[in-house]
Amino acid sequence: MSKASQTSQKVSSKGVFRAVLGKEVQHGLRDRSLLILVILVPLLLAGITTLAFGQLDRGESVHLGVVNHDTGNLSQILVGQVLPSLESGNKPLISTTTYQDDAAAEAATKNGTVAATIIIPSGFTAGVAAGDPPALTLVTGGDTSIGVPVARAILTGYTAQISTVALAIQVATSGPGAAPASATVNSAAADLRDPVTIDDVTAGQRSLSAAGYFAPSMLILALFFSGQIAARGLVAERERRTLTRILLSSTPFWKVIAAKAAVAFGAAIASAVLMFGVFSLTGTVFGSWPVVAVLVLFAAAAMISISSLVVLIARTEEQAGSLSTVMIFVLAIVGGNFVPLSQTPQILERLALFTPNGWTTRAFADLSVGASDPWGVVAPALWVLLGFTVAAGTPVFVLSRRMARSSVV
Amino acid sequence: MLVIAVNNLRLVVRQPIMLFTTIVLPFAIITIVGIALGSSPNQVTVGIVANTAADPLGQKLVAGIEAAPALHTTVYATDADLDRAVRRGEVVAGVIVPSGYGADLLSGQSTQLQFVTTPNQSTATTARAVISSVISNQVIAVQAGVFSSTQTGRSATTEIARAATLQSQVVTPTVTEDSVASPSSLSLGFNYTGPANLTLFIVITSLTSASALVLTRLSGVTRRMYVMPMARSTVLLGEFLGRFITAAAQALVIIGFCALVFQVHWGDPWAVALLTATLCTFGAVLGMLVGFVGKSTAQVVAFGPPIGVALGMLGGCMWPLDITGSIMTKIGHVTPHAWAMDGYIRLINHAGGVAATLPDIGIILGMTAIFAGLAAVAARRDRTA
Repeated sequence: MSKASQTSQKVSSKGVFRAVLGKEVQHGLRDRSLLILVILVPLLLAGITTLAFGQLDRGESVHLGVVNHDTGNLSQILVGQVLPSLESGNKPLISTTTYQDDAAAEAATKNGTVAATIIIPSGFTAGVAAGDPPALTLVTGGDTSIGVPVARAILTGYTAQISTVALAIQVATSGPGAAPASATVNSAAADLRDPVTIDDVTAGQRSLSAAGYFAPSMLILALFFSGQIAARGLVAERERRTLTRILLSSTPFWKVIAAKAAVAFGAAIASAVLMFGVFSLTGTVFGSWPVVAVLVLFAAAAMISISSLVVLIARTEEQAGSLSTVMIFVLAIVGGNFVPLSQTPQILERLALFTPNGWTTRAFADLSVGASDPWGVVAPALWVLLGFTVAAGTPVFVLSRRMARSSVV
Repeated sequence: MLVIAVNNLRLVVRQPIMLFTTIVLPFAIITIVGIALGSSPNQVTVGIVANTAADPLGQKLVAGIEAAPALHTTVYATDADLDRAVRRGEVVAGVIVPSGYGADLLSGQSTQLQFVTTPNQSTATTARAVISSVISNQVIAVQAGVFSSTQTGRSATTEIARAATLQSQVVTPTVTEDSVASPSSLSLGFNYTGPANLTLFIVITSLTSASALVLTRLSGVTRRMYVMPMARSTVLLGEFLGRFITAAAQALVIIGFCALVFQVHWGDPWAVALLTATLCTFGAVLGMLVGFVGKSTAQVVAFGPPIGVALGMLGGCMWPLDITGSIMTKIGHVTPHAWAMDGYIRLINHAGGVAATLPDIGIILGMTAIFAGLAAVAARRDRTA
């Protein structure tokens, strides 16, 4: 072979990488699939989930109805002191609306105007004093907020305190050496407070906002979707017989794969930059940026490898699309990307640790709340993602190579 | 027309992967999500670190917290594990029961629990309130005994024991609960995830199958069908019928599976059939529209599944719209998914038959008609091109 033709082969080999990369980008821009995956998908999914779960940021308040038929001091204590005493973020958690009759309160509960209604019966205070208190009533509707469990807890604590006072007086004024029954003893008993105090300890510097959780979660989905680009491109080229022509040009196969993977990686990074950029403008804090960047890179590599593996198992683009969709869906559910971790049962929390997105989601959450050692908290996730990349990337390379050889033969 | 439909069906049936993703995998998702939603409805997740070895009162407190209906608890071995779980949002809050909890209480001393949470968590306040109520219930005798000891000078241990004995004589005010919830209120678990995934997968499968129509167009098969001696509507109906039958088969299997395995009572069978047929019609028409509009299979595969997921999110197939607030609920009703879910939930809760679901069916049919018109226009443009 002459020196001129050898030189021309080396040039064309280098140029093929750029040509394949350019072709993928051009096709992706022309049919807008790249724009859909980079811009539309992540922002759309993150926007929807952030809006849907935005109440995590607003902080739920509880609106209860009250119907007070009693005129004694015990009911006044419940309504005037106990209910307003619960706070969240230095603000009262509970607001109340007083109704004059049970029917109005029940209607308000049924239509969701109030989360629940507390009905204090007539003669409640007198009944407690006489040792035969009438029952309190908690009216509930279809409300699924924190209002009903809060109301139940308040009433449970309140009735327990009434029992404590009554029992304390009875124990103190009975038996040998008992204290004489007096208003002083009664007053002292009424001032009893729980011997168990609850001290607040803060984990992290910030609370986990809806955007702080779902922006990375939906980015992970976008990484899965865009991760198909490389492998789907190969499958499409095989179907159109253009893969044969590329390989017959003496281009090393790994360069073709690398060019396609570069497009997928570039799309993934562009998605991440766009996603974090847009949500940062809304005030969302994701944590230390160098650590976030490294986590995104490792996550992209893992998701691209796994998506590519799924695509290469398929024989047609339609199969690839179906299989990928279901794989992404299952992993996203198990990994906690659609529903906050605190609302999934323990079994799913454990299963999530078998998914790359489960580890990634947790790492992002840790960074978002401001863990004191960001590199320390993401290190386990980085190792796991590297493992997934290698475990999925190796068969991807093997299957791609096999596909290329069968195309040329 | 039938030949076109049968050909489309054959394309699906001959591909095991397509059969797997269309029929089998939805079951896995229904099972997982049904378990997730059904196991802990309306519960707040909390973590506990229990340093309660040889501490009966401490163990009683932990048991009381675990038994609280409003809480779903997870026990962690160390404070660091609990701290990490709270940071990551795996639990809303955590409580650390110190060693010596019971000993301190029995000796008349006050004691402290640590409540771990991230800042400004209103849901954590719920957990705190519930834990406080558990504590209040459990320390009644301890408080009374300690009080008596301070008033009389008698031994605290003795007084606490006396208080425990006398506690049964004290009448505690009771709390009765009345529910005024309407019958159509959502019950979670498989009664939700069944119709949710039925709705979701009919649309996603239809969107994914659009790539086959794109391939048919780009390879010239559709053009050749147009020049054959048959009406254009025959071609369109054939494409529609194949997709409709695929969606209907998928729906039938999901409905049967949920009824047999998960005991989902779907309600009036005619109403369910009509609603499902309407949904399948919408899915088939949507698949056709995307198939005629798509410029490449890559575009359709990039567009279809994410859009299907997004529509499912908006329409209440991923989580009940009840929890998203009124604005998102209204936005969600731009999708046929939300109307389908409304209809299925109403039927499952035995609130009516065909008449009760007619509004939902009517709206879905209206959306279908719009998309059908768009698909016809797109098909005409494709034919002209």
